[in-house]
Amino acid sequence: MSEESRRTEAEDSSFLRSIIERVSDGFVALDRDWKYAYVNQKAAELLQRKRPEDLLGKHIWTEFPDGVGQPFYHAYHRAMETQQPVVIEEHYDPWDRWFENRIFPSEQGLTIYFTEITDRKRAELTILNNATLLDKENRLLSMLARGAPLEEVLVTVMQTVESQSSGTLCSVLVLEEDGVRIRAGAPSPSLPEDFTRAFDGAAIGPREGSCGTAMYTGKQVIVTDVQSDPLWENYRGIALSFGLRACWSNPILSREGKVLGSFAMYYREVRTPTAFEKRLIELAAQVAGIAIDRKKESETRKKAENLLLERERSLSSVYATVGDILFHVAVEGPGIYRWISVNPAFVIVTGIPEALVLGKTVDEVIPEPSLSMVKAKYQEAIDTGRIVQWEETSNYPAGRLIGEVSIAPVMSADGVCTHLVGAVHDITRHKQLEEDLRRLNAELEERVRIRTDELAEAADRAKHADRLKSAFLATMSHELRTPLNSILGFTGVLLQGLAGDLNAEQKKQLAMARDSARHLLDLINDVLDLSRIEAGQMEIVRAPFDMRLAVEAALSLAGPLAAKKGLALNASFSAGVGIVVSDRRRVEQILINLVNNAIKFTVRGHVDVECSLSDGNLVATVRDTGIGIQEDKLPLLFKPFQQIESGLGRRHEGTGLGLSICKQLVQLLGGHMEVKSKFGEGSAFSFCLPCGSTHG
Amino acid sequence: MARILIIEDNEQNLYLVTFILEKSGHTVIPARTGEEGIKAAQTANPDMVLLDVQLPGMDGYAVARKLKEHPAMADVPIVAVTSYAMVGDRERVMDAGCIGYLEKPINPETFMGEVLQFLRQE
Repeated sequence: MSEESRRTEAEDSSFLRSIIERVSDGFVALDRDWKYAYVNQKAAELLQRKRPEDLLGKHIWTEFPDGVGQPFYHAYHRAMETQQPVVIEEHYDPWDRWFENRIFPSEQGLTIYFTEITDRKRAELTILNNATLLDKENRLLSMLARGAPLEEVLVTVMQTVESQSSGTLCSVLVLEEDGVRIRAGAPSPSLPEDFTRAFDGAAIGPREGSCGTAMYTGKQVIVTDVQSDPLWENYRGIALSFGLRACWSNPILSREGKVLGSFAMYYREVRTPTAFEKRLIELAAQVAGIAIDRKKESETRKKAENLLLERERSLSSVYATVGDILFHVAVEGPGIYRWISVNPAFVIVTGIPEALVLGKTVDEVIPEPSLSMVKAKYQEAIDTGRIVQWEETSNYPAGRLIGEVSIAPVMSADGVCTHLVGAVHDITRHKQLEEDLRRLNAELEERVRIRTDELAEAADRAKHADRLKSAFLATMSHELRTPLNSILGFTGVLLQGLAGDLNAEQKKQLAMARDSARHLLDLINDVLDLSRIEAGQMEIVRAPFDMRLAVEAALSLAGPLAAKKGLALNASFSAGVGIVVSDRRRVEQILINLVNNAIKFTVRGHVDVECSLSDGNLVATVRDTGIGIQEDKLPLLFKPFQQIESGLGRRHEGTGLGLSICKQLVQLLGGHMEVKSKFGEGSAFSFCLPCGSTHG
Repeated sequence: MARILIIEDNEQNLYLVTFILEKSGHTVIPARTGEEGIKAAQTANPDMVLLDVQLPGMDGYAVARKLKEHPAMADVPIVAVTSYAMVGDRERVMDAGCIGYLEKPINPETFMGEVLQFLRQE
């Protein structure tokens, strides 16, 4: 249940209680053992007790022994036995006071609304006593007293008047709710129905017969002769046709002076009323007014009671069926709280039988340390007059309960907190889930932490591996090249004739040994280059240099090989090609690789290097007239150790690493490489480099 | 003609470089470890030092620094001879006090010219 709906309920309940506290009626609830389960402030006053608490839990007939055998004693028992509501008015002799009781039975006992009616009774009696001439006063009195049907009372009033003034015929008309239309209020004892009904639906006004005018003006209207009186102009015919000549009418007023209807006395002859008759008609109207008033009041009260009962019933069913714990404690004094009721959910959730709680104080039921907190919170609710909420964990026979507790103070009309209504929303499971979630989160965090540590460790290992790789590369570089250093050095020295003259055959063989050693050195250099690039160990040093000179240098290195194959080497530069900022050594390495490659795969024709500018980038293209590359082989071109078959059945001299190194070097320099080729016609390898230019 | 101190642990390389330099009429002072080279530098009064970077024990950088501590060596060029520079090697060589480096394997046809260039720089 959401916090909001719970609050609304608590407020509802509080609202209901505050209504009960404020109604001018006394309100008590008796349990099946005739003990007071609830007494409102008004009831305490009416029952002559200082505070409601003075009666709570007490036995009614022990408190009021004089009541045993009185009519209401029997009425209470009848209601309890038959489970039917009973309404009774009676004179309570010990106090000489009149009370009206409305008794509503239920399975829990009786709910009784009662109010003192002594003043009203005395007023009624006074009226009737003043009209001592009314010999049916006792009958009328008892009818009013027992709440007889209105029509019966009105008929009796008319009969009484008729019996007091010979020849009079009485009628009672009532004003409809609209305050304009009239109708017969009760069957007239002596007048024909055709006559009284003739006025139904007529409107009141300043000249609408005796009754219509009396109701309109609110004053007694005495018409001694219908035949001549202008007030009767509209109704003269009908009156005369029924043989009626005189009509005296008195308005029937409510207690507040509102017109309810009219009481009329007709005569068959022209007649002027005596003072007694004038008084008689006044009194009759007064009694009729009381009767109508009471009828209306009882209808209104009935509606209020029904509403109240309905609310009580719905609240009861909520109380009985809601999953939250609801309870009701009486505030008996500072720090003394006694349980009045608990709902079924209390018993189910806590596992404490109702019998161990009801009538007990909280001290007897709630263990410490919860008790101190509970009492502090109760006191807070009492002091502030507001709903207080808190979370509480308690151990009950049914197990551990984590609850959200709300406690609402119920205030009496004079602002004293007499009761507390409480609700406990069980959030044990919710808390359990929260706890599970927290644990899961903690586990997850732990796993993430472990994983992070593992990753950090892996990163450390990777760094360590990188260092090992670098060290390995440095070592390999040294170890592989040191012996080559002496092989190339000594063959070079010998071929130069520094160690003495050599014959032609010796020179030829020594040159072959030197070429093989150079090839081995190329291989080692390429492998180490690739490894260094992949290990991030390739050093790039950017500085401004003239691209034209770099191309010339590359071509002069490749010159001897091209010359040997009879190929022309050409360089061409577009306008603007000059100084670039890049790594000259690497740019030359790329150019040499590409040019050597082109020479290698070209049998006749030429190899051209073209440099131009495009979008601020330098584009260098090495174009040959060689064998070209089949289109499906192009993607393999830049992969390490791929040398595409020439189709001539032999592998071309080279490491197969050159293009792969070129591509990676170009990328290191911030550019990219591409190739265009037509099989059988030639290839064009291009790379573009950011000029990094002179202002970069 | 110059007096050139060569610090090189590889016997064949030491012989090769010595052979080329002596053929050109220079005097070679050979040393096979860094410690030996430092000692020789104090007594032999060389005009130039060719220093192998990858030496057993005390490496070339340490040797160069040690050599530069001696006031007598302040104006004597030290040239590192190294196979294949790794990232940072160039800076480390220069930081240690060398004026430049030659890459191994040496090319007998150009080696002498490069050495003379460094000698002339001083």
